[in-house]
Amino acid sequence: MGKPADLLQGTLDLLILRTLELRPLHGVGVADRIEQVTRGVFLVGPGSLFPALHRLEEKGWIAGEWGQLENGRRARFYAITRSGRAQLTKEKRNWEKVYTAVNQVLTGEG
Amino acid sequence: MGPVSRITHLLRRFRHRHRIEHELDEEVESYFEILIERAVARGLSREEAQRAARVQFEGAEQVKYRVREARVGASFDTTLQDLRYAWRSLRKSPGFTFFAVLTIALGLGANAAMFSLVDGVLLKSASYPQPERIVQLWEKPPQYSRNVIAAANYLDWARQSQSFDAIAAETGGSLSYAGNSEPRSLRVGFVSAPYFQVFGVQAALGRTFASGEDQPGSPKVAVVSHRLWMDVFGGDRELVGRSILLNGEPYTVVGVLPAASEFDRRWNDLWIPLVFPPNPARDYHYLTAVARLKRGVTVEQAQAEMSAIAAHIAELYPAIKKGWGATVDRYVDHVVGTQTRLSLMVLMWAVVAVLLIGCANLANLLMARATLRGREIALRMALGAGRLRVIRMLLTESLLLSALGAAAGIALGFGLLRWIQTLLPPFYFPPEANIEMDGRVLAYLAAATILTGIAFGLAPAIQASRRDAAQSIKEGGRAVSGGRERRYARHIFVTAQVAVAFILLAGGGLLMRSFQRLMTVNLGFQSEGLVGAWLPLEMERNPEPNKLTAYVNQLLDEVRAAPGIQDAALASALPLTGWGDGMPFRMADHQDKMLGSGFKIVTPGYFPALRLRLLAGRVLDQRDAAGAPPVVVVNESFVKAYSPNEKVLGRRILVEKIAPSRRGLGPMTAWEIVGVVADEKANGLDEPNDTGVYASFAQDPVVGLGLVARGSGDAGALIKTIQRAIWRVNKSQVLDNPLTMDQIKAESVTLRKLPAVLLGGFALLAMLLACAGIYGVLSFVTAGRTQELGIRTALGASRRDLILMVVSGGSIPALAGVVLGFGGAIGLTRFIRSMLFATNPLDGMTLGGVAAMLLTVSLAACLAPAWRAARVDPVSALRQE
Repeated sequence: MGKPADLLQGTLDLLILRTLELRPLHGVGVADRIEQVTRGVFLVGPGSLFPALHRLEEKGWIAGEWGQLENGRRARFYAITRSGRAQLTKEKRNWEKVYTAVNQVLTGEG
Repeated sequence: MGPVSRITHLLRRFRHRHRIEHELDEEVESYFEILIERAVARGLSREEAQRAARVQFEGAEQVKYRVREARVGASFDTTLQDLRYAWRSLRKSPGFTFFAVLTIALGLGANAAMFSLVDGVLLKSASYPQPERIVQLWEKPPQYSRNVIAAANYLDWARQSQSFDAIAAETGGSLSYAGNSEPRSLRVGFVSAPYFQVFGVQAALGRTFASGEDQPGSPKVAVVSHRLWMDVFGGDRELVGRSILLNGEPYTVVGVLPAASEFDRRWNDLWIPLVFPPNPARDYHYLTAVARLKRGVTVEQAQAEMSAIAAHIAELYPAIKKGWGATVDRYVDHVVGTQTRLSLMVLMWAVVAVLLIGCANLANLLMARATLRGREIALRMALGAGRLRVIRMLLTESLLLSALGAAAGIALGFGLLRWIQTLLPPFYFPPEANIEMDGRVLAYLAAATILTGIAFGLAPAIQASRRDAAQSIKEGGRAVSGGRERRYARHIFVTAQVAVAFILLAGGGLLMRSFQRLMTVNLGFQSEGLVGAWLPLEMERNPEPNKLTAYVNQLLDEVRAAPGIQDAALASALPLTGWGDGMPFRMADHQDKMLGSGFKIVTPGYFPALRLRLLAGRVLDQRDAAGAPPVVVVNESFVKAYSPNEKVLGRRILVEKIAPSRRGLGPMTAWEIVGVVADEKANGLDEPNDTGVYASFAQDPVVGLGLVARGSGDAGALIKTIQRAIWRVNKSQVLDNPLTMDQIKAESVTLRKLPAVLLGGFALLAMLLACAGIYGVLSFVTAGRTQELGIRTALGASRRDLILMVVSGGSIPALAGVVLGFGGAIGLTRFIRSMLFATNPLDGMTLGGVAAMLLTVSLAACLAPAWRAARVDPVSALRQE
């Protein structure tokens, strides 16, 4: 199981922001989406998901709001904010830099 | 995130903390519900789905815990939460809390008081600008380094030296001031005009002395201390420029010195320019001198210059100055005596030791508590609290304890400091010592508080957090005696406590014993019923011998005639306050050798008034009048030192008379020794050898007199009687600082009494704390072994066996502590050797007594828990749980 410790610091934030960029989701939705997109590489448990959501909300990058599911259950939906989008762009660029750099090292070795 | 928005967040969250918590609950619950519903939809039963969710993920509580941790200001929240929790937990065990807070309060209180003293006397620098540039000057006689200065020499120094921006001589005296009420004596510093420039002090009101105001013929002016200005003149701003009558002469007040400065803590009430007569003496030494170094001039350079000047003087006046030099000291280095410094340092270490003993006690108790609370802690860890989190929680508890202790300690310390100050005679510490519980003391206390909390809380907290959670929960906090390792830790603490307590007791015991010996020293005279006071005379500065003798005799006759007075006399120094003068002299039959002795001038009544024992010959009496052959009486020490083998009666000593003003010497005189009396211990009880010579006032009348009188009844009434008798002669004659001889004696031993009383007290406190430690550990261990003891009893162990078992458990570490402490005391007591009077630092009686006392008390501390252990009822013990 992909534990948060296995994720690079900040990667989870990036994944969550990217996931919410498309549409607002509740906690389970975010976890499902990440699992789907990464084809099961990242399984995000509630113990890392919720602290990350609350941290991002405090930073003002996402906003939480209570809503209802189809079956009438109340759940908290998170949506990305304007500054969240800006942050995502920044993080993406960052990630690309890191990705390229690490890749160069790996292919250079090979 | 910026700091402002951080704080906004924090505040908002604090305001809505209940709603936020509630929402978090709901959110996490909803998360799990969605998962469960999904699983149910896949065909699982609800129970199976719940279990699956629980197995797959962390529990809801842990999730919430992590969210809280991740938030901004989580540590702030946690601290609040920990504090609230600590407070609850302390309230739940009031006995423990009371003991802990009391222990810390005692330790920190003693620290606060001692640190106030150490900081005020030794650490805080004087408020003078550039105090390192102030120096003190001395004459340097051939045999030793520092002597007061003769006026003529001072004037030469002042004229010739180039090293100083300002130089000033000083001598003390008193003048009477009548004002509107009874005449009172004001203590006056007679100083050269640049005196205040030397210290760099400006008047708060008006001005200090202008240069030239110390020249003969200049108008009479005075500068008053803020203290005098408030006490006597009611803070009247109009005082400056006004003239006041001192000894019946008008002086214009030109300035008031700043409040709460060194000049308010000085002995003197006011300062008057020191004016020298046209031809001052070079052979009578009575001045002190201070100077301010020019910028860039070092003490060594000044010393070199002064030595050269003094050498030149010695060449010019070989008869009196041969071999004399000058000594230059940095003023601030010599403000505090080495004995005072040593005493304060010893006491400071003692209170630190007391605090450490207290910390060891609390560490032991907390470890015990942590064992009892093992289940609770294990539960917290199982619910997701990390080790650091648990340590933090427990440390918060100990810091809260030490903060509570500190709060009580400040009050205790303040009381202790006030009490110590009442033990001290006024002006005991130098004026530069500014003793108060100020911000510096509070800062020290804050640091000590935090360190204390960590010192006694950290080890138990780490230990508690190390426990295996599952094991603890199973034990249910029952297996309390703990592992072998923990038991050793406790025993080591007890051993260390007892050892430190022993060292303190040894030090305190030695000082007490030394003080007790000092107080039983034979004074040489009978102090009961004897009172003394100074008698400042209006003609002090320009005495006419005949008028002086007449006036003084009139006073004495009136006092003697007063009801209840048996004997009265005048002397150039009161008993136990020195000899008045120290004079170099030669034996008439051995003129090659210069000797030295105390030289006291007395009226004949002095010997009967003191009940001084006559050993040979006769005492001075009416025969020894002005025109009669000059005679002296010497004391026992004098005979031992200077005439051990020859018959002393009939020998003559060659020494100058002292001039009536006591500002110079009279003609060289050959005095015949007519009697020998017992030593009166003039220089203090601890002075083994005190050579002294008594001359008759009639043959050498001088000013600067003290009055002694013996009478029956209450000392206070006696003093009033004397005062009234004196006022019958002269309404404005002051009787200055009247005290009973026992009070004078008590003041003379303060330097030895203070450390003895305080170290003794701290040592007792240390012993009590160490015993509380032994008691606490044993009680706890025995309480935890109830079952075991029950089994032992059931298997046939007798009460005696059980008592022995428990007592040996406590007395072995205590015994080890005593042995270690004994070694430590042998190593350490030599540091207080110089504080001991007639007592060996390895005094067997003291060390043995201390060992016996400590062993007895620690055994007693073992007995109560042992007794309880022996009364364990096997049936009920085994039935527990």
